[in-house]
Order: sequence, then structure tokens, then C-alpha cells
Amino acid sequence: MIASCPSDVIVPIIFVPGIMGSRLHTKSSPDEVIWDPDDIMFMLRKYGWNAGSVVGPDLFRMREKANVRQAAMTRKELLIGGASFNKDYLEPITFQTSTTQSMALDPYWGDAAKRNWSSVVSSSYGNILTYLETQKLKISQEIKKNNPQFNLLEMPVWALGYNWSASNYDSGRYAAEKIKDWVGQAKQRAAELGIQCPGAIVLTHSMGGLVTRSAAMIHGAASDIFAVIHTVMPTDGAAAAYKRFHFGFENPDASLFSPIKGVKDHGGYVVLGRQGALVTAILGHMPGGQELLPNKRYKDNNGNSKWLTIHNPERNLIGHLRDWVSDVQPLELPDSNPYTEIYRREDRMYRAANPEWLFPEGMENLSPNKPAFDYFTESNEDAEMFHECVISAGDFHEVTYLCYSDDTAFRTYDRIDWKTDKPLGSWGRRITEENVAADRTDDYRREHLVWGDEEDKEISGGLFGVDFRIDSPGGAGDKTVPASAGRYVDPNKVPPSRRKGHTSGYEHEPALSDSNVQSWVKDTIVEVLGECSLY
Amino acid sequence: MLVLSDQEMTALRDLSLRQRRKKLKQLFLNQINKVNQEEDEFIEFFDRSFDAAMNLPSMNDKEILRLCRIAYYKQTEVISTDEYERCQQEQTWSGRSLYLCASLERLADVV
Repeated sequence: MIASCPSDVIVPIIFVPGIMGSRLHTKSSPDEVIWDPDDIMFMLRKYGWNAGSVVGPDLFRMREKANVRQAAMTRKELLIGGASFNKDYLEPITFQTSTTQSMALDPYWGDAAKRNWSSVVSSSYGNILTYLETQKLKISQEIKKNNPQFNLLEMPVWALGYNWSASNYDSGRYAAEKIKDWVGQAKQRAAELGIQCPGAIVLTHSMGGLVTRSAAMIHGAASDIFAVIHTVMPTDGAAAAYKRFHFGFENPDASLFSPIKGVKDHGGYVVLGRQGALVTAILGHMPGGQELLPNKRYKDNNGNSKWLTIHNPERNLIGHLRDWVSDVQPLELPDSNPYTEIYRREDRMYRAANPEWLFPEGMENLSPNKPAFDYFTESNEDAEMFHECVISAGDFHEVTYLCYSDDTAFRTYDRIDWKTDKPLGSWGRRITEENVAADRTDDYRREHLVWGDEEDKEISGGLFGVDFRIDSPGGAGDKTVPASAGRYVDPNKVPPSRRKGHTSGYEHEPALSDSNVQSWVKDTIVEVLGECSLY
Repeated sequence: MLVLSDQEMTALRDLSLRQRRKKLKQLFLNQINKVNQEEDEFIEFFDRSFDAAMNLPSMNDKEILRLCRIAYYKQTEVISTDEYERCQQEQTWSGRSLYLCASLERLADVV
């Protein structure tokens, strides 16, 4: 028998976070921090304080309206930096030493700061970075069971924070540069040692998956990547992103059994934005955020491509009766293109961005010839183009694995059902189909922060009842990304054996802190490297 | 110290190759459920496929078997498959085994 000697291998692991998962400062003055969830006091001061909430009585909601506008203005000034989006305004905080980070230390690759861990939010991702850093030996031993010749000599873990306000096209270009640079360093090291480096394993969370697909498929980093492991990626978007344009982020379920978590979750909720006005002022200008809206390929968990319905659009009594006594079909959208049929339908209440909310600061300094909605249209066209571009460039890296939560306990918006609840029809208001087109800015109602829940968010006018509200989420998922967004992948692009839906699920943001996900990530790395062809 | 002549080294390599061919042939016939059928056709098919696969650099057992099964499912010779062509084009390629694995899964689903 002829035996072979073990082959030493270096495999860099590169982690790409989700939206809002990178710490940001302004490009022009790096001391001016704009987004840093690791600094709780900073976030409360900058965003929690500017949340549009009102303490005490508020007759006719006059104070709230003023507060929300003021909060939206302040937040927009912080995150957009002006009237309209400028992709060069923000950049990630890179290569900085931080006391909140685990002190990862490698004799050759250096500490956490040298591997850019400061660019991502430590409170969200410190756990997975440290986990990977400490798993090298275990991973190496497990690989040997399947690939005895494989000897994992070094596995440096890098973090790749990016400017998440920019388009995933631009973030992909930035990510491609970093991936090429870090893989180049690993290959140079491998060449010096006379060993093999197959390229990087890129681990992504949420929108980081879109950035990585952009880097690999559009910006030429595919050959530097050995495999991509996506977690909770909204492959074709998420219906929750649409809902947020109308009603802000999701109210977290409060639990008497975990009051500390409840307070923390509510704090995060207030910081992110409870009202559509706060979200629209920001995401209405950010192409990156709009790329999370359901794209042309999106389907709900039941496989329906018409994921938005409007029941009884006339909201009158006759319409209700028709709904009750017959099987009248609701208005169902989209036929083929959600961008033109839903998001950019300025004349319909179900559009994505309310033009009244795009410029809380006013438009006095802008061209009088360009209406507010045109600004949204431009960035929304970019979002549409991004998906076209990445799909036509091949869509996924050749070696792609993905996991998602497929648990019905984590109720997720996989579809949007606009419903009405007017016992007397629209008595007291105009009753025409035109109402769907009417401006409803003043009729949005949010829930009580402490006692209310997601179902209390509504558009109410007239004398009794609710004109429109979005039906409660009911799909399996992680409360943000529905199972369909993870599952709906062409088997010719990602084979079924490389997709994992966890029926014992987890929430979206902390997914990578979940032990099921961490184990799956580790096992996937073992599987991938166990199949690495050696020379 | 034991020193082997070139001739002895060649003989050793041939022996190792014969043993490997025999072992993989049995596994292949098992995988395609032809183990009890004494059909020369499948044995000859495997021998041709094995020889072709061995022309690629550093093929491991799993890769050889996958390539043979791909050709079998496609009802064609190994050298005529897109997968073989790709492997030949890329030569030393870390992702080869994963690529063959994914191709085989797609084919197995169809078959």
C-alpha cells in the first residue's frame, strides 16, 4: 500500500454581517460615529431619544405628529447626511481596537483589530466570531474523519463590515476588494510555507448574503472564495421590509417570563423605529434597504407569487357584504413586477414610500421641478436593477450552503394582506375606489408602546373602525425572513442537500448566536473542507 | 535502509492501481445496483471510466466514483461529460469534489 502524507491547508474565514450590523462613521470625519449599537448610551441618545414618542396626553395626536417629523428629520440627517442619498457619506469603522471585542490572538494573523472585527457590531456578532476562532482544532479533527490527508494548519477569522446604507452592488464591490486582499495574504502565506489555500469560506448573515453574492458574481471575487455559507438570507426579499415602510419595525412580543429581554427588545424596537414615517425617511432613500423588498421572484410560504392582497378596496358596506356572501377575489398583486405594480405606484395607498414622509426636513432647498417621489423612484429602480444584475451574473457562488428558520412559532410576514374592519362601511367618508388612491398620511395609527401590539397598527379615518391594516404575520420564518425566502432557490443553483430549514427555529437578528445555527455552521465548514480536493 | 529499484517501484504502483480499480469497481457496481449481475457491459464501462478519470490530477476515490456515476446516469462515456471537460480544463482545483458531488445530486434527482 502506498500512503500519502497529510497536506497542510490555510483557510481564511470571512464573516459578512447583515443590514445595521456594521458600525459606521462619516467618511469626511472619522471621529463622527453614526451607528454603533455596541455603545448603548450613544444609541439611546441619538436614536432612542429621537423616536417620535410622546409622554402624557396628546389630544388629536398633534404633539406626536410634530415629534415624529422632528425625529425623522434628525435620524435622516444622521444616516443620510443630507436631503438625498450619497453613497460616499458613510463608511465602516475598520481595524480599530475595541474593549468590547474578544481578544482573539494568532501568532501570525494578529489580534481581532488586525482582522477587522471592529467593523461589525460585537454585541450581535462577537459570539460567532469568537466561536469560530476557538473551533479550529475541533474542525480540523472532524475533517480528518472524512478527509484524512487534510490538515487545517491555520484558519484566520476576518470580519467584513460595510456601508449598509449603500446599494448591495456598491457594498459588493467593496467586499470583493477586501476578500481578494485577505485571500491574497493567505495564498501568499501558503506559498511561503509550500502548502495549499483553497480560498476563503465566507459566512454571511441576512443582507450580508446579498453583498457576498454581489462580490462573488458581479465583482469577480468568486475565484477567491471556496464556499459561501449563508444564514437567514432574504434571497428574494422579505415582506416585512414592505410592511416597515407603512408601520415601522415589528413590535417585539413581551413576555412576563423574560422581562429583561422584553425591555431590551423594546429598547431596540424604539431605536429602529416604530413608525412608517421614521423608516421611510431613511429607507426611502437607501438603495441597500430597498433591496430587501420582495423582488420579482419572491413567493410567499405557500408558493404564491401574488403576495399582496387588498380585501374590499372600496371599504364600503356593499363590499363587505360581497366579501361575506360570495367568493369575490381581493385585489392581488403583483402580476409580475412588484416594483412598478406596488412600490412605485405613487397614486395608491399600498405604494412602498409615502412621499409625505420622504423629506421631513422640507424640500425648500431642492429643485422645484423634481417631486419627492422621484427620489424614491430612482433608488427603487436601482434596487430592481441590483436583483436583475446578480441573477443574470449567475445568482449564487458555485459552492453555496444556506440555512433559515422554518418555525411557525416565529410568526413572520411571508405575505401582506391589507384588510378593513369598518362595521358601517365607510360611512362618514367618501365611498369610492378612489379612496385607495387617497393620501392617508394623517390616518396612520401606531400601537401603545407598553400595552399595544403589532395588530394595533392601522390606518383609521371616518367615524368607526379601521380603514386598513395589515393582517398579523402568520408564516414560518424568523420573524423577519420567511421560510420561502430561504427555501425558494433553484435546485440547479443550490442543491437541496445544501439547504437547511431549521424547524426548531430562531429569531432573525440573533440567529448566529443560536446554538443550532452555530453547530450547523461548524458542521458545514467540516463538510466543505472534508470535500476539499488536495494536490 | 530498504532501497527499491525503478522496476520494483513501478510494480508496486501497478499493484496499488489494480487493487484500487478492483475496490472501486465493486463499490460502483454496488452503487448502481448491478452487483449480482454478471454483465461485462458495466464492468467494461467502469474500466474505461476509471482509466479516463485517472488522467485527471490527484483524483481521490470519491471523485472517481462520482465521475463514473455521472457518466452512467447520463448514459455516456466519462470523457464526453461536461463534468470531465470542466475537470480537465481546471486541472488542480480545490472545489472539484464539491462540484462533482453537486452535479451527481442534480442527476440523481432527475433519474
